[in-house]
Amino acid sequence: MHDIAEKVVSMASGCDYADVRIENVTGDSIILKNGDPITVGVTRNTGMCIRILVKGSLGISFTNDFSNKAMKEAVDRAVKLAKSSANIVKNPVHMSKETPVKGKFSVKEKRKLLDVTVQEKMGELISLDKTLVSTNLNFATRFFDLSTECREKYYCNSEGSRISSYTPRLGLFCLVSVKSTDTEQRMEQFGNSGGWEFFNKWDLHNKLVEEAKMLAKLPSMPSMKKEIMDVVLSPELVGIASHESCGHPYEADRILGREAANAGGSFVTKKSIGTRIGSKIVNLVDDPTVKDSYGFYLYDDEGVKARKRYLIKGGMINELLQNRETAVDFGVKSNASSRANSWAAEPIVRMANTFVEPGDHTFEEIIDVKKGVYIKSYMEWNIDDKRFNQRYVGLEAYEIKNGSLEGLVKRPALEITTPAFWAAVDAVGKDFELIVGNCGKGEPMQSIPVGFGGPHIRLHNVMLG
Amino acid sequence: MNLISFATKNGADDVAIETIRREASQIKFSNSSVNVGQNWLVTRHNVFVSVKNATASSTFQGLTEQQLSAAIKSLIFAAKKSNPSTEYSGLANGPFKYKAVNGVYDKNVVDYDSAHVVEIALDASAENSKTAAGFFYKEVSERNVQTSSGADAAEKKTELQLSIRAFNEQNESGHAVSCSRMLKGFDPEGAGSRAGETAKLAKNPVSGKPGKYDIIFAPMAIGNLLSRVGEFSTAFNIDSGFSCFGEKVGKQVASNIVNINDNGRLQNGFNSSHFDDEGVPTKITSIIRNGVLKTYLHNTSSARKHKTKTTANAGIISQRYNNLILEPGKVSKEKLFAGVDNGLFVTNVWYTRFQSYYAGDFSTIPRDGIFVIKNGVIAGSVNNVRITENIMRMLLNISGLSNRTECVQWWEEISPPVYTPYALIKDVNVTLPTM
Repeated sequence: MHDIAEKVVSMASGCDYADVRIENVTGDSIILKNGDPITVGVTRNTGMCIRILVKGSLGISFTNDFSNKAMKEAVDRAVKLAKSSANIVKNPVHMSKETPVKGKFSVKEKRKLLDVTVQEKMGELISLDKTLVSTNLNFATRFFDLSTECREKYYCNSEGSRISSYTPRLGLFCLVSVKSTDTEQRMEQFGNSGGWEFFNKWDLHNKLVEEAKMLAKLPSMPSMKKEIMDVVLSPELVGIASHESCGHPYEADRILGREAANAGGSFVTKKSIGTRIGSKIVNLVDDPTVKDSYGFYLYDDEGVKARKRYLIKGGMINELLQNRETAVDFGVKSNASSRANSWAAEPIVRMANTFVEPGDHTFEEIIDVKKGVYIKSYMEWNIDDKRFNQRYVGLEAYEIKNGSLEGLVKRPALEITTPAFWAAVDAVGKDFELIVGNCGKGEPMQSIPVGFGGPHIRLHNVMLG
Repeated sequence: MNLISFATKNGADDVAIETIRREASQIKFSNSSVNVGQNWLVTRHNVFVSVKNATASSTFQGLTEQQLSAAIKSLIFAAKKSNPSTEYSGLANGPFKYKAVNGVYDKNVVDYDSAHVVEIALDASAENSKTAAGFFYKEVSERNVQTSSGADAAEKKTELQLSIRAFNEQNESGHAVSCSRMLKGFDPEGAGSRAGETAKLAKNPVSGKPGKYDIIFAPMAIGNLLSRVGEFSTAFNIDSGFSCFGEKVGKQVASNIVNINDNGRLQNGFNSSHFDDEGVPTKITSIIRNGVLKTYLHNTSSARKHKTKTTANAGIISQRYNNLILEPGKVSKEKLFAGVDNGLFVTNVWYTRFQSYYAGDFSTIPRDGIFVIKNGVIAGSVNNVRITENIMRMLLNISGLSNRTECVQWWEEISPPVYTPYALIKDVNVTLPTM
């Protein structure tokens, strides 16, 4: 990898800037549907991304042909493409000045993912499925998709940065449908960066059985009336709200309009930094360096060293997510937010692990309200393309009366603006949990592993229906 | 090396290999300025094997011939170590005779000037809007499928896609696309104009009001929901729990004016091909006829499980629609509007998410131009609204369709493409954020 990347950078020596990212991915996936092993997927995927900058015009080539001729042609194509559209480049692209780094990171695996056989992985899924079936609940469907990947990367640029990394990841997607008077469904994901040891840490047998029992009860539970009340949100809800209504609108490329065609823009503007968005107890960060996390990395895909970013500090908009291109527009340095989901995709501004920092309340203190609802999980959610108008519909949710959890309630819906959401936070728990997901952005679409979460929080006096 | 023979000699019972060589380029722009030009020159092999009904599949990219043979051996090893699937029942038996689909390859696309296309679209949008964002993508590809059951098919494809979103002041935007396999039929100027005109029309939006509305959905808006209908129609999604169409074949799932087909052979169809991933010749499949669900979309294995025939919609593991077509109605778009006294016109939606796939309960967010219709004419622009509904209820409430279809595909919101007219749906539930 190293020699090839160096060679390609030298081929682009006539450009103002060049970088090369080579990735080699090995992995597998298993789908188990209603107890039936549908297929085993095997991944062997290698290729490179070559970026060049010529007089403010950015050109990128992607190729998986590593011959000298093909690589030279790829460089030439990137240059040609950059030059061909130079007369429609009204806002020239520049890269922020960053100190070149030589770095290396490798995520440790107590048990290497590649050492775990397909038989063992399949066996774990079948065992999980049998556990669900043994509950004698009426399952309409049970769907599991387990995937593992080991991603090697080598990055080098014309300024002298050289970074190699190895990141193993494992993830599980589940959809369980339980039929009683109606059919209710729970969709969730588990994931970590690391080795096979995490599979058992997910405590899947207990968690999925409890959730299936809840799904069986849900159809006969009362629906919510529209009413103003206190709402307690679990780390899962806090996580999705942090991701959607804070992480996304704080992406500097969205603010600049670069993703406006598809992923959309942002209600945040350049002038928003330093303005209040939430109550004083809200501290919300995006941090790629969280050990074992699904969104983990130590250097981004532009070779910048990763660090924790305080998006909201004391309720104030504090910092945006920047790559080297957007940082120039904002007059700041990159904070290492540049990620691509594969060698065949351009690096753009992305989240890593987005979460509310823990506060000082116990769960008992948080639910200590006269009347409210505790939303533990959700299915339906969405948000507008400025990240202002959002909706989360509870799946597992409980009525709160005089500080104690009562029975399940069906489908409480929180439909609220972003400022109203974060301003309503009046209690932040001392617990913490990271959930995982795959975030979509870019054109072509790039789905990328991320974490999101936080502690339990309470929203005071919000409309729930 | 013959990879099919190599795989069978190394222990595979069934083998299917799809090889795709893709040369593509894209120019992405925002604020009416080019951000980046990207190009891909990529070869990939999608390999499927079965051993005693245990299956394994893979996409291999960037491997030398030696590495590819080693990867195929590892795939066969994975299948041997896996458990047999009760659902897998072999590949379609070939060989097949193929009839070419017209209008899927245009040699003139190869040298088509991408930067000029972007300029044309931007100029057209600029007549009515301040800035625009989007992309132009062109692709020339070769694809072939060979199977151990005798299928052997090959095709050359071209495609052109422009997506442009025009903006004026805050919340004043319009989005349009042009998708074509051939230069003839590709209309970047028209897309730029439509996006700009919608942005202009969306002037000074005010907050919408919750309630029940008769809504006219433009092709990009109804296309988003129809794309879900297409996904919900595949046997894989039915069996996995990602659909509300389970056990609904033969039942009324839409109003009787609704006829939905999948057509893999559509001339200049944006996702047309004369064979599916098993090498089976593609065809026209009626999914919904007069509002009644007629069939799911199948490959060979799912068809055997459901005691029917393949509809040539493989994916070998899961099926997909090719070109989903909602047949047009008989009235003009103008007449459709004339029939609405008090309603909304939604030009686009995004972020469609389901609370329950089984029940079909979902919400989606209108974006770009959202208009009030009073007495058949547009009477203002609104924003901040959400459609909170049930997809089956909406299909049953379709009461009018215009007489001309448009091809729409954008991002993950509508893909593969949908061909649809404007649709009038009665009594649609609209909600707003309450704080």
